[in-house]
Amino acid sequence: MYTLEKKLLEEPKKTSFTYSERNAHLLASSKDLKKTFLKTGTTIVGMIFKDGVVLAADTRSTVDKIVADKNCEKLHFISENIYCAGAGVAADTEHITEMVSSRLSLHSLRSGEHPRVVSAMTMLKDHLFKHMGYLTAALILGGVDATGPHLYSVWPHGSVDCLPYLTMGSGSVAAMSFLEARYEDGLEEEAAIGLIGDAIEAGILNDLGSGSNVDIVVIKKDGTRMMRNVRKTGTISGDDE
Amino acid sequence: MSNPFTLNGGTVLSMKGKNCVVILCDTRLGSQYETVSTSFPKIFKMNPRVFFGLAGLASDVITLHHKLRFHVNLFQLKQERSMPPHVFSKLVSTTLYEKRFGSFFAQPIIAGLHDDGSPFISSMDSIGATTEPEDFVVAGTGADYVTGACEKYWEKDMEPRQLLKVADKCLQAGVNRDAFSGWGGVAYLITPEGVEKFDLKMRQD
Amino acid sequence: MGEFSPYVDNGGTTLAIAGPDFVVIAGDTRLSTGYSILSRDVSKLFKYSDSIVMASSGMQADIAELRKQLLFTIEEYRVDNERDIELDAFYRLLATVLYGKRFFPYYSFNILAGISKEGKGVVYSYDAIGSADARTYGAAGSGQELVISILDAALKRKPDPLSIDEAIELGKSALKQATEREIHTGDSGEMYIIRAGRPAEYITFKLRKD
Repeated sequence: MYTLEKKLLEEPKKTSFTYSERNAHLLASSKDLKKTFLKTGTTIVGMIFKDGVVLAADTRSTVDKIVADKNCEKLHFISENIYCAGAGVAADTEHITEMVSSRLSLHSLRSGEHPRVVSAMTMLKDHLFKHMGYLTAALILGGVDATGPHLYSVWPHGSVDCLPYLTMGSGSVAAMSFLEARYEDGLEEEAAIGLIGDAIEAGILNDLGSGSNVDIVVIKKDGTRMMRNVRKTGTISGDDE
Repeated sequence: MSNPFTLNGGTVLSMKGKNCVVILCDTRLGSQYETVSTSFPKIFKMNPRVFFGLAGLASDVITLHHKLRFHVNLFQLKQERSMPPHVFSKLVSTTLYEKRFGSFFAQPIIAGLHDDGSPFISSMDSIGATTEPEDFVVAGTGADYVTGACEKYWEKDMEPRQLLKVADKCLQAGVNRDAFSGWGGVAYLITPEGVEKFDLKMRQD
Repeated sequence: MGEFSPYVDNGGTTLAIAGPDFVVIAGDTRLSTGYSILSRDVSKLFKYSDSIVMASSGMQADIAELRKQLLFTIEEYRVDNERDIELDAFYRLLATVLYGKRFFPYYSFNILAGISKEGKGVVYSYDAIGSADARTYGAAGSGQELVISILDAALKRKPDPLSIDEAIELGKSALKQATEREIHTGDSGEMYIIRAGRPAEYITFKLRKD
């Protein structure tokens, strides 16, 4: 195993003062450093329905075993017609989506049109691929543009899936159990919101990384509706509240 | 040398009240279990309405403070107005994320008042993931302990004096359980009328 | 093949608070590993006699084995001495059993609550290898940091003596607050209320399930 001391012992006459050595040593001597990053344990879900796309997420963010925020926002604004749900390291999901959002707004200012979902998807995957998986962002991107509704999942290494319904995050298996049982093509809006709420709720209750409330965003051709804390699943099971 | 986040120790706490905020910290500076200084405050006044707490590696606390001080001063000179708290929070966040793969070993807390007197608090991890809760924010080696006490004693819409009392109680409950924090404390109570500074009486061990 | 690791952490939080002639001891009922809930209804409390209750968190399998060893020994004690074991003897017994596995410890963090010979409420708090001391309150498990600071703030330098209703409410609310902020704690809570000269009373209460 590599340590600074060992290297110095092997080469007794050479001394280095470079930061890379110091940083490598600091990282090697504290394996649990990454545990101090804010993570979104997370259940996120995306679904195509009759009139558009619906995305949903829980609202818990954790540092190791401690809940850092009981009501955070995991549905990130990209543009009026595109949203992105994020799982993984919170700083990565926040900053990447913000970067894409600002680039797309310049883009649509120039073109005078709403941005397209593929553009957002391409920017995200290129950025993630460039960083070879070191940016820990697992995203579900959804929106409606001139070519209709679109839904993608973007993985930390930069691969993309395009499917009618998707889940990601530590609660993805719990959420997927609901989608596999009840999803069908051409769902009505109300049914889609009900199903996606149940899927997130499954994540909240069965996955310890997910918790608190359900956030849902419905994106249709004629407008977007953001609904914060549609269900307060975490607190209703307690004695009071 | 173990974890750079806990090498020097220290805890910072901020709480929201009714048209007021309070931000507190301990004043210990240590090297592992050895206390080096008992007068190392971790809260900095960025402008009359924005205060900034940093917990973590002392050298990064100082460096980051100076780096941000530069940007805040420049903003003041260019725009001839004080930087609002939420803007400062964003500045801290992007400054931290700039160093995504070789981060500062420090966690910031921001407390301030908006122009309309409404309170603002936020906290971040060392790479700038921001949380802006409605109750309280904690960072540092005693964070877990302080969180427990805050969760029990924080209430909505507390008046300034009560807020200070509750925050003091919570910080001390936490700091007295944490070997790396303590040895004195400082609190700033920020209200529309102005800022008051308090030295906190606490155990010296 | 991964290296064999003999321990898992099943999480959970326990606490106990002693008063002049009573003691309350409580825990949550969630059993978990990593991000998964294994059960929402597994007890961390175990009653050894009318006035002795032990709360254990850590690894469930080790706790089960530890309980079995203790039951076996106190049954022997009953046969030999023709009476139930008392708190101070049980305190020594638990310390001895834990230290007996000094170099391959039971992965368990225990709190012992009971009534002493003098009729006082006592809490003993242990580490995994049997170091223990008597206290007026204690906490253990995954939410220990959160709970202990709550108890510190409420009980350190409290001017008037603690009443039993205060202790029950404090115990319940400390667990509730731990559940808010610690992911391995939750589902429901249980508590034994032990008064001097009376059999222990058992109550349960709800906690968050997320």
